[in-house]
Amino acid sequence: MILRRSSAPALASIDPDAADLSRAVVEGCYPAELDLFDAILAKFEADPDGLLEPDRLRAPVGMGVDIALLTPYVLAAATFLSVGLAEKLADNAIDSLGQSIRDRLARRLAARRGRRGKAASEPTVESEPALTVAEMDEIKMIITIHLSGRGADPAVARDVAECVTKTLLSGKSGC
Amino acid sequence: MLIATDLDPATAPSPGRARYVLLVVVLLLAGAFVGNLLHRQFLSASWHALEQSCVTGMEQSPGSRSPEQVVAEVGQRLQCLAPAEHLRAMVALGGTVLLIVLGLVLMQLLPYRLFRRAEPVRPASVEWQRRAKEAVRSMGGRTTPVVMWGSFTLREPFTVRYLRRTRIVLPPGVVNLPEAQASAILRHETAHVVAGDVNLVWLTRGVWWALPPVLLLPVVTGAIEGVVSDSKTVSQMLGQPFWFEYVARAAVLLLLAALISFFVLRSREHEADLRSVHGMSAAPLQALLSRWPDQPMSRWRQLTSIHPSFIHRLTVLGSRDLITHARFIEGAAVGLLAAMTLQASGFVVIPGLTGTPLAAYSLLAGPLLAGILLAIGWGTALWRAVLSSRPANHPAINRGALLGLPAGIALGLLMDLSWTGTTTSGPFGGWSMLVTVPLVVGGAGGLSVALASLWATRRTTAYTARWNWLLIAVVNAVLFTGALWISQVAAQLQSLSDSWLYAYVVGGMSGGEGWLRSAAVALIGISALAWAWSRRRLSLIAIGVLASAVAMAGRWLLPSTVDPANPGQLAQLDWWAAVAAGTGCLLTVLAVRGAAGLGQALAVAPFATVLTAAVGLFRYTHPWGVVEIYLTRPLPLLALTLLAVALPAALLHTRARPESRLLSPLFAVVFTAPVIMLIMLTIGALVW
Repeated sequence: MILRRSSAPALASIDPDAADLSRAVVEGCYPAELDLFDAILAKFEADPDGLLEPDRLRAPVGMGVDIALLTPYVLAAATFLSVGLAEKLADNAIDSLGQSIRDRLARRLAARRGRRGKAASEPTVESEPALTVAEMDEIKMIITIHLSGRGADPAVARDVAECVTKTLLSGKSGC
Repeated sequence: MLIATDLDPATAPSPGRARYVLLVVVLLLAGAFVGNLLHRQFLSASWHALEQSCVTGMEQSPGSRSPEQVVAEVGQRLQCLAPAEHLRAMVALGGTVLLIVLGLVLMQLLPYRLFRRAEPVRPASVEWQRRAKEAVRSMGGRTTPVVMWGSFTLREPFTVRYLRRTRIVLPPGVVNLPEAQASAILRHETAHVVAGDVNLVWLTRGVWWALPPVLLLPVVTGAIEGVVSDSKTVSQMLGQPFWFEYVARAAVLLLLAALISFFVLRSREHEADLRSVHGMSAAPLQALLSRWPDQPMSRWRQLTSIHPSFIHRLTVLGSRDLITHARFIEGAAVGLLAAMTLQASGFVVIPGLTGTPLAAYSLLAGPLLAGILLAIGWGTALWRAVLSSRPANHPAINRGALLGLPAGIALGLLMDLSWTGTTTSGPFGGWSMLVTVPLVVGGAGGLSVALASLWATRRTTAYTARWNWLLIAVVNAVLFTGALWISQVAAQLQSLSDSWLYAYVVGGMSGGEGWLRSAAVALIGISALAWAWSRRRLSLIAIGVLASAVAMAGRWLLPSTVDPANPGQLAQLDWWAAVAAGTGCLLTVLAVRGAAGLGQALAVAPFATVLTAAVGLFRYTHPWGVVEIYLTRPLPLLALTLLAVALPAALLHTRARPESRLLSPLFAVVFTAPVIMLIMLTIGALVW
């Protein structure tokens, strides 16, 4: 079930496609965190669950507000997509998307790889029909649910899902 | 003329800070009780031996003794016992000192531990340090904290202080916030630093965590004594009901202290919010707090929550004042803590002052300590609520707030650790203390509100100066200390005599020279303030003069059972007539204005009492010799009367319709006449 809290495996190094997508999302949507990106990425690669697990300090002299870094959730979302599309996880929620959508998402990820110059032979995606609003909403919903399951505040999960989807589908940095 | 008011967090004293101090004092006094128990375990034999030798010396005095001889012998006995009593005080103080030392150590360790959990940390940029410095300066603070970024998993900003350095640790996610909201977070944390919360909170936590092992000390030493002793087993040592009661009371103390500390923490969050936006727009902070919807919480989660709900914080920010400082729950919490300091402070002070010139004042220690803390922790909260009410005269204090204090005091007297062993017999061997102390101290709260309401009606400017708050604190300290002191004395008298009338009469009119003089001076001072802040003074003077005239007429025209040849009894008749005049005025203004008349009663009742007593002086050829005694007998009894009726009086409805200038003085006649008649009928039971 997609509502079940899933747990990403600890990776020695994150999929380059996911890292690239994450960097683009942060650059476009959360530029204030860009300086921290490499450090957060290293921490995410070492212990993704630990990074997403908030420290509940219950500090007696505090402010009582919950202000999370967004890059860890961007990384979680991007990893979720890249691993899911590569069918590395047996029961991934990505399976609930239609095959057509999955194919187009996979090509978008590959196209980003192409722009990095690592696989110039990958097909271009500019000529493909754009995803409908309903299809985009479906992708955002799946990412939102995944991030909520990993402890993100619902508003944060929605915001990150929006940014990741738009960045992936537009092929550019920015929201 | 004192004029007020708009509340400035920079000048208005914080009830929250006094509540922290009260909490720490209560916990430290538990250490004194532990010290007292340890003294009983290890040094009681030598104490009893010395006491026995002191008593034996006294018994050898031959024949019957006069009262003066008895007093002298008691003095000699106390002098003889003084070294042992001083040792007892030192051991009790040792328990407190042990708790302080452990608490101070934990005060460093606990914040350090929290700081470590936020690691790795790194210093924020120079720009953030500058912002913090500017925030401190704008709030009038001195300590500039170091701003740091916490680990990537840190989500909550917090402030710690250890090794004499204050650190504000921000979550890195703050960088995503709009600049104004990020500044609002920094200003909120800085407000905690400026308000002195960091030290107070961690000291409270340190002492709280240090208390359980200290409380266990007598149990452990008792068990060890049982193991090594040939005559007693461990079960014999610890199987007594006393120890079960001790453990239960200790657990209750720790639980209540924890709940109250959470409660004060929440209150301090509001204060930090308000302080951080003082003199500037609250919009960024409001926008920040509006980001998170409140989740429904269980009652227990609400009680143990460190922060108030976002909706509550936004409400307080919107009103720009923390009038919710004065609710039933606040009064109950403060009253509970204050009641717990009453007896416990005596473990050090009373034996410590035995045999010294200050011994006569030793009973004042508990009421003085509790009174001062009540004045700042509750009195100022009441005044803030009254002065900040809009429009003026709108009832800012609800009945719950007035009843919270006595309820808390009664609960505190019941739960107090230092009363261990009295569960079946009651404090001081009876239950009268549970009635007298809450009623009279609750009355002090009512009188405090009455004075604040008088002041509020005179305000013409929008500023309350710092020295005005000092005066307010002094007035409240006088009210609460006096109420605690005389109510304790009256409760003990009631327990000894089993008569409420005896407790009232003797407590009010001869509750020790200290009480008589202090109460007379305090009542004259408070009455002067009430006159200064009252309106329609001519009407009040008319009420006072007529009440005095009726009381004097009754005193001279009605028959009484007083022996005309006994000058002492005749003097007491004069005093009672003076009290009747004051009581008549009190009833008059309450009948005319309801609860709002209580403040006017503080003005006119002492006036009528002094006037009547002054007329009584004309019986004397040389009246100057008895002026003092004519002031220091009726006024203290009137003070006790005012304190005793103030709580129910403050719960009356305030009459809104304008009073008649002719009718009010006539009421003085109507109400004073039955009072003086009742006194003349029962005077035989009132004089000695």
